[in-house]
Amino acid sequence: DGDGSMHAKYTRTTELRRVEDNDIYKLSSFLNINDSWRKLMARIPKGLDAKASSAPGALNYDFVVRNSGLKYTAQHISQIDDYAKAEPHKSISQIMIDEWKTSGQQNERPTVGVLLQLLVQADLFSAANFVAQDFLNEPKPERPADGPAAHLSLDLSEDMDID
Amino acid sequence: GTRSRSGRERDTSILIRNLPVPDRQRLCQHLDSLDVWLQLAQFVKLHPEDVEKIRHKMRLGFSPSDEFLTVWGGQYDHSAYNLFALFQKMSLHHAMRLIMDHVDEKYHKYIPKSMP
Repeated sequence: DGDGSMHAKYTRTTELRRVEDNDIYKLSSFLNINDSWRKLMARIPKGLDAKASSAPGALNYDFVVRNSGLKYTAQHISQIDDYAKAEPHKSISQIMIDEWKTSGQQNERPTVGVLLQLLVQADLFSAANFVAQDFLNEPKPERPADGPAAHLSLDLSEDMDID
Repeated sequence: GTRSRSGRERDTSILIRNLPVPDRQRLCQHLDSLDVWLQLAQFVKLHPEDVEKIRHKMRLGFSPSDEFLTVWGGQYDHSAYNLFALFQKMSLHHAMRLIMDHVDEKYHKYIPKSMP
């Protein structure tokens, strides 16, 4: 591919349905935090060319959504809630990923690279850092400079007694 | 600037979601007694729906500070160092002391001395 690291388990073009169940299980534990799966599901674009959008920065999110709209509605999201009640042994995020990973035409099937970019787009940094490091052996994605995901540093400028 | 991005030393502190439960409980009791969760949430610019969710959990009897840590620490993967920095910016000095063991010793000098 040229876009995957040497010792990575997956590449950015690996389809999510090819990711091992145990890894999907770990991913879903991050997506269970603070209902992150809902935030992800609500942002998935419709009719995405997944393979072409997999490389770093290749998913032009605003452009795609403006042109094609969103894949899932609030009604789809509440359907996942209903499925979860019927399958109490599965986590709700796992059910959401199971639905998404097999959906659409062949070129729409979500890849690890698309997932990562959507996680960053949705400010889901626990899940994004996990996918970058554990799936792709890549550094953690860049954080925005502002908002709840921004890095906070100590103010070191104040006059302090240095020992 | 209050949200300095300078001084980006390598952050080796543990993640907020990995804080030991007793330390987290002690911290949340303290923050709840000060009733500062909303100020914390507003300072880090949590989205309105997350603020509402915390308020809802609080009405159900959950600790709002603990819910704040779940959202800001859990979803955004922030560290004990980031939390320590947030407490400094909010002048929550005792809260800084409660988590000081989880940040590098070289930062302990930024905790103001406690009053007698």
